[in-house]
Amino acid sequence: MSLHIVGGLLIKRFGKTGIRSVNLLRFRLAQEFLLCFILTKNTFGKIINKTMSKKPSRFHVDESDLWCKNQCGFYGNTAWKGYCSVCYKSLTNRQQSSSHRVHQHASVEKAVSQRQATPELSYSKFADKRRQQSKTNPVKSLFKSTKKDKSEVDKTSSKGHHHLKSEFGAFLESLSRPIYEDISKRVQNFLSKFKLLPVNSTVETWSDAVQDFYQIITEHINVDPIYQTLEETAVENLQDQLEMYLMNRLYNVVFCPPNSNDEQEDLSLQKRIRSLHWVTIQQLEANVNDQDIGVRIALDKSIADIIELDTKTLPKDKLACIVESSRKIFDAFRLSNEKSEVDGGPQSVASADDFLPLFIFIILKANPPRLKSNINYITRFASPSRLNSGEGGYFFTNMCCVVDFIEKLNAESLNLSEEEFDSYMSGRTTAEGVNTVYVCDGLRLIHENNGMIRRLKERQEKYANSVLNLEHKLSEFREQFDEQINQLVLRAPLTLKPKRGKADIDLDHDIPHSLPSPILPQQISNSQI
Amino acid sequence: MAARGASVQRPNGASQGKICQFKLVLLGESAVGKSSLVLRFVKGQFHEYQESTIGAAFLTQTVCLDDTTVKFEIWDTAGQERYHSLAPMYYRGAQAAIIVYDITNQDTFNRAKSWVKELQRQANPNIVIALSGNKADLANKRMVEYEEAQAYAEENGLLFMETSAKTAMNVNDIFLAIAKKLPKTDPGARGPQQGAGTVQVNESQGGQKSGCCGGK
Repeated sequence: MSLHIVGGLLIKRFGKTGIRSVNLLRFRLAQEFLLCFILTKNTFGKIINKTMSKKPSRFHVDESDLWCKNQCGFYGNTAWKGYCSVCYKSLTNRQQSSSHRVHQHASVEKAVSQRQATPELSYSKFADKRRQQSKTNPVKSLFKSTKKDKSEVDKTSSKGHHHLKSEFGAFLESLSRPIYEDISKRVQNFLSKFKLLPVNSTVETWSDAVQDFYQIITEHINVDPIYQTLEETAVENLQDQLEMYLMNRLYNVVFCPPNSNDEQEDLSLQKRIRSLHWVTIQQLEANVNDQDIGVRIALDKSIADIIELDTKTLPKDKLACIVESSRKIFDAFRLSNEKSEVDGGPQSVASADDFLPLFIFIILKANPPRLKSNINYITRFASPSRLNSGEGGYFFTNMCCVVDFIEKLNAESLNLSEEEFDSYMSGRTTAEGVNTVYVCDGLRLIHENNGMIRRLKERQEKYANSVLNLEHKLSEFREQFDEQINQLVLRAPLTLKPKRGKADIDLDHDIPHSLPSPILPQQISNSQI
Repeated sequence: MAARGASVQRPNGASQGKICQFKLVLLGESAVGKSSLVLRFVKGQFHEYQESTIGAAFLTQTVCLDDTTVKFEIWDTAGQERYHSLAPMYYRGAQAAIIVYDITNQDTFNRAKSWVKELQRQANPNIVIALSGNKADLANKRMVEYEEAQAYAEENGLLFMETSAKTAMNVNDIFLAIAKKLPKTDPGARGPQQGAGTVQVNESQGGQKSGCCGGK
């Protein structure tokens, strides 16, 4: 109520100004406050629908436009008709069952209405409710989901995937006639059997069905004489194509299906990874020089590749993403080692001892979307040969290990004390240094530039100090010099003696009389010699 | 996988002999030279080093044994103590394992013994285990006696060699010894074997779920 009063006051105030634009604002404000007021009267949905219908005329998109239509507090998505995933799921389930089971409709309605009544309820509570619901009535709820899934299978088989079909068909046609017929017959058989799986089947049943199919086909190829003409590689290719075709057909149904806990697991893992944002390369003891730009670029690429995992449909492509991401990690090691080799460090090739810690770091930084769903999907539906051999299998195993490690991560696994770990987890201590910069290019650049500026500043200060020092020394030297000179002057004072006249030998002086007269030359006669 | 591991004998391919593929895991504490050992084996005189391989974590190498070609897929594991609990995911479904210790470090030998125990308890029951005392070139700093390790290996039915990745001593030999000991399945009698392989697949899946995808 107080809100309403405040709204009224504001309207009055702006009303006095009488400016047009403010009038418009006033109108909007009035609308908003009216909304708040009516909201308390519990007729939220209707009003929202009214305002929503007006909004498209504006170019500005409010945050409220992005919310789930159900007002559950989560964001909606056009792919889910403006609902969030959970509301959409329950809505479609409701639509599915409404025509078949009226009482089922009521229970979903109840769940939705309960949720509407308490919009601040967290998702987990609702998820619990949903789980309880499926516990109390598992057959029905599973029936719903399989109903939906089967209709999807039908849809996909009738509508899209023509291209896919033709691709697989073209591949089959390249084989001999009996093989072509045999394989297409078996695939059709399998797909129709898959659609007819019992209503209460779980995702594990689907997985078993697909795995059994792979196994049967493999055995069949080994035994049946019509396949004996095929080369080893052709057989592998055939198995690949088969897996590709099946998974393309079934992906929408079996990836993160509603009859599994995949979505909850995804969310909890995502939350877990977010809470571990402070973990550094150093804490994981990965021996890589993360200060080097080249290394960082390689690590960024690795993160991009692992995020791409979710966009692929086929297990094969998903595994390729993981391998590619791992490859970048090894690139990072190579770059890091090249540097240290130049510096005289030991030459080494990265092994699993180095790789796993850095892979953990990459997953922590990437927080790949729907990681758990992806892992579950690959584990359930990839052909077993993929998972237990080859690079794909190896790096997929590594990724499973990483996820396992992250889930069980505690103070001990980072060599921290319990207190340190707790203070990091609660956010009291924040990670400092290079690692926090690992967010985006811009921030990293800022950090680097800051560092550079800091270094330059230090140097400048050093120079300024030495300049001052020099000045000081100079003035000291001057003083000393002056003093010494003064002392010298005092010790040996300069006395100017009268100037002596110059002696000019050519001047006719009075010859002193005391001198004898100059010797006169004497002439000596020849006879005397 | 076993299904693809031992290749099927085909009328047109019978003359080429069998190709068997085996998964081999490397276990041992960090810095005992696991990866150097494998790099020596893969890069060594046997065959050209495969440029396509990345790092030294996952490598493949083929050896010829009489009429059989044995292809090793070598899975390296992180040796640090903190990653110890993840090891089962790596050695699941492995047909062979090399446990490496450093002869100049008694602790690594004790650790190797615990690996042996764990593998015997948890891994594939037919797994071929080899014990490798690495850094044999540093014999003057030796802390683990040859006789002691030899006796331990005999007691537990392990292949044992002292190796040196530096001088290549016994490196190829230990892999060859493993290749000889591995069962080269007779294609005619593959039926039940493959069945066993299937069970293993399912087991491994179950394990994986509990290991990395489940728990909640």
